[in-house]
Amino acid sequence: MSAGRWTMSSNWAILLAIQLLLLACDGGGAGPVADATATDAVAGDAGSGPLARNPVTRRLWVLDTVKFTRQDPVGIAPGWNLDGKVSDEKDDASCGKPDFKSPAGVDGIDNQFAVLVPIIEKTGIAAFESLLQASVESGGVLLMVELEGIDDLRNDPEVKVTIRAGQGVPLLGTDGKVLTGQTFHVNKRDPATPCGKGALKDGVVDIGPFDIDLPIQVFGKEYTLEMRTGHVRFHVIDAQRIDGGLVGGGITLSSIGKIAKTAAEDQGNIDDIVQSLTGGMGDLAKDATGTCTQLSAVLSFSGVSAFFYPYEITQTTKN
Amino acid sequence: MILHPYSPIVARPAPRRRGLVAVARGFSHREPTATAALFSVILGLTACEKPDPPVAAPAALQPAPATLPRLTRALYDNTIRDVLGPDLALPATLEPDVAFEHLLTVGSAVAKVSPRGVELYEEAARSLAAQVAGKPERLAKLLPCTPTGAGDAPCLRQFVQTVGEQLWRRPLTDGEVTAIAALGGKAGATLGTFAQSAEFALAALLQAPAFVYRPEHGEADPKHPGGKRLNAVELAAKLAYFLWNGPPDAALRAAAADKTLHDAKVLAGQVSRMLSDPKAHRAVRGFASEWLQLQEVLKLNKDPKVYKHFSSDLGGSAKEETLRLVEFLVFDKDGDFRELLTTRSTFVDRRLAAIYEVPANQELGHAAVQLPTDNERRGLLGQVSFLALAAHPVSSSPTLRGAFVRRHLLCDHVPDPPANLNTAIPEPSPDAKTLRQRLTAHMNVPGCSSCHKALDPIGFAFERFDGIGRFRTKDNGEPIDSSGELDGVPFANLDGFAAAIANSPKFYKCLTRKLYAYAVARPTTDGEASQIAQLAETFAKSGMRVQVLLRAIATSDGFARIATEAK
Repeated sequence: MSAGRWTMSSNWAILLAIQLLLLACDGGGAGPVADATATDAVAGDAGSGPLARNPVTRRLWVLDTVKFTRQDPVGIAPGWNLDGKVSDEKDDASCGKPDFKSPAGVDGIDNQFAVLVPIIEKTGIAAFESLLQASVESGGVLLMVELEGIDDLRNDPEVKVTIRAGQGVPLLGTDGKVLTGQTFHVNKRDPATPCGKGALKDGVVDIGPFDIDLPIQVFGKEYTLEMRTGHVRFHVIDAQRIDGGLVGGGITLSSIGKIAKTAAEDQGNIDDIVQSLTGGMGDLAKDATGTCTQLSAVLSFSGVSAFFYPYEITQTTKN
Repeated sequence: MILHPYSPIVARPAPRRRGLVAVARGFSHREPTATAALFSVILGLTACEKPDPPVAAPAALQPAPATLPRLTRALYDNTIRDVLGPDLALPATLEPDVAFEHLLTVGSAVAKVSPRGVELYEEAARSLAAQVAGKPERLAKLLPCTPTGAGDAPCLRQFVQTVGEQLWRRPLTDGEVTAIAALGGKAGATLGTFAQSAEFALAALLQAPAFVYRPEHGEADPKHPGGKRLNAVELAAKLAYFLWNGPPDAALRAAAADKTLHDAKVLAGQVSRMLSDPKAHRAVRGFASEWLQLQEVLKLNKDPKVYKHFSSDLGGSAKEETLRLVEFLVFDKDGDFRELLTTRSTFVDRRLAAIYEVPANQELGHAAVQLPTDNERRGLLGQVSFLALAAHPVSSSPTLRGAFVRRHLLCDHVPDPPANLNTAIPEPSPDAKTLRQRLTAHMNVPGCSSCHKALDPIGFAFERFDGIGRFRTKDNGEPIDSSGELDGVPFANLDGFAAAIANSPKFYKCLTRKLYAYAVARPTTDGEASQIAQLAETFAKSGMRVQVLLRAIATSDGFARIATEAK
């Protein structure tokens, strides 16, 4: 396999990851069955310390780890029931793609990308996930989740969730991870994508569904990513950390195809690779021709506290 | 090159200090002896239990003997930059500064120069002179004349006179000019260029004792018959090194030359002029660096496995933060300096902002921020420069933090633990999980209790900040109790402690004493107690304005007068 093919395939995976993470909401379809117990986050201490004494109204966390989710063991994968159905191989609506069961035992989890991940790994491009993490640590993928209207970081009947894009090079700690508490510029092109409101229950917020048509830029190329019935969930450990994060939804195969075609202008074989990997993998949104037009996917993440520079600083800074 | 060598000069012994403590400290800082070691052990066991016995201080100033401070590294560098140019490569190594009474400048009056130190001064002189002479435009800026050729002796004499006066902070005698010009001229004649004449002459100037040291011979004091004072030239140099951290400029030298500097109005005018000069910021930063031990912050060493926010440049960032705050309070605000302990204003870069969990206000460098009110961090004692310095590489340390506060902010005497004392504290146990609980158990150990009881209750105020200065609420899984007491005044946490220490008269009196010692560049004596008390009173009455204190010290009798003979 050529180095170019390896790199572009990995880039494609990163694009997919970004698509999953950058979510904008304009309402959604039928409400899914949430698997609120799927995260394995450790109970935190958001109820003590300064947060308990002085409620804050807004908190921002930058994602410091991003990973693709897998089935483990076979048939078990995290995510949401995006289409409200429990599908098996015989389900025509999901194009014969069986759903998963969540780690907590919830049926109907849509996460077809979990099937794709080991296939990608077997093709010899397993390092794509390392590349994704490296992009997080170098600022290439600088994504934040923001909570507004917080009265209590453990239990709050209504908080507003926004996914935000930042700009800048993260300071890394002695462990090589993005440090807590640092400041970034707002990404001027994609400043904010509000996701809606929901409740914080025992530190866990779960928001969705929402759709996104988001332009992103990777290695100087601009792409438009489409995701439908998106969801995001994370656990607020404390003011410094979120963990057990999941973000998922249905990625339109048409947008993946367009991305592959755009990328192929520079890297000839990327189109073929993407088509071979995703062709026939759709499991959502079957159209009139009988084709499932979306691929369900779920990423996991964690985050650490972050801030944005004051507006006027960012405005005078090129990014 | 053959230059008249100078012998390492040993300053006179420090003036008499109070009581047994003073004796042991005096010994231990200079010539360790078995007797001094014994004193140290005894004092280590007992000195924290009670303060020095009160000694009746003279009601009037008894001037201290003149000393012979060496230029500290900061003064050396600033003098070179100010006189020879800001772009010279300064020597990488010189005889290291040694602190006395926790101030490097005071140490410069009592420390020796080693034989290697003499060599280093010579090497530095040669290097600096070569840099000046090797770049025609640099040399041209220093030359008061245009040389007509390699053997232009009159121009070389003028060069030695003008540059020498700036470097030595006094006019050179004819004999000195002749000797140095002759040496330079001989080198130039051999090597064939005027630049090389100037280079060798400059090298001679730079390694002379008159440059490396700050001699004070004094003159008869007409206001105090039978007494002595610094002569005008010496006073000008002392003012400049105190208020500018550098050599006197032409205006100050002129006031010294025409003998008007001792006139109260002229002196006050010069001091005001100097305080309004940007170089005054440099001086205040220099004092703060020494007072708050910021040179040590640059050597911070933390376990990277424990402190993920640590980086090799953290010490520099932390030092700059503290210096910016001091500058802000002294010059921009020119208000109550006790805000140093209580303010929520500070100046952070992106890395410090991350440690403090506050948004940075600019991408590069330090910028002003307000610390949030939802935790206890405030003032100097909430800064990394203090919290990380007074801590261990793997943990916080109430003891080190308490000792820092007592030594540097309250001027209490805190002996180092005796060398043979086991200072290990108990490991965490089910009964003592937090460091506070472990130290409390340690306080009951004979030989440890007296000092720990004086230090730890202060240091507990900072326990909600880890060994690098990050805020925390738990230690080893247990909630942290940061209450304590300062000399009988209880406090609930750092908020309360900052207020308690700011309101303690010991703080402003200590600051006055430190700044005075820094100004006179030698250990203070009992005979100066009344002078220092008077200055502290002036400082307090001004509303704790440091600029007032600087002015008061610079124009005080204690600053300008010297004892008629060394005691």
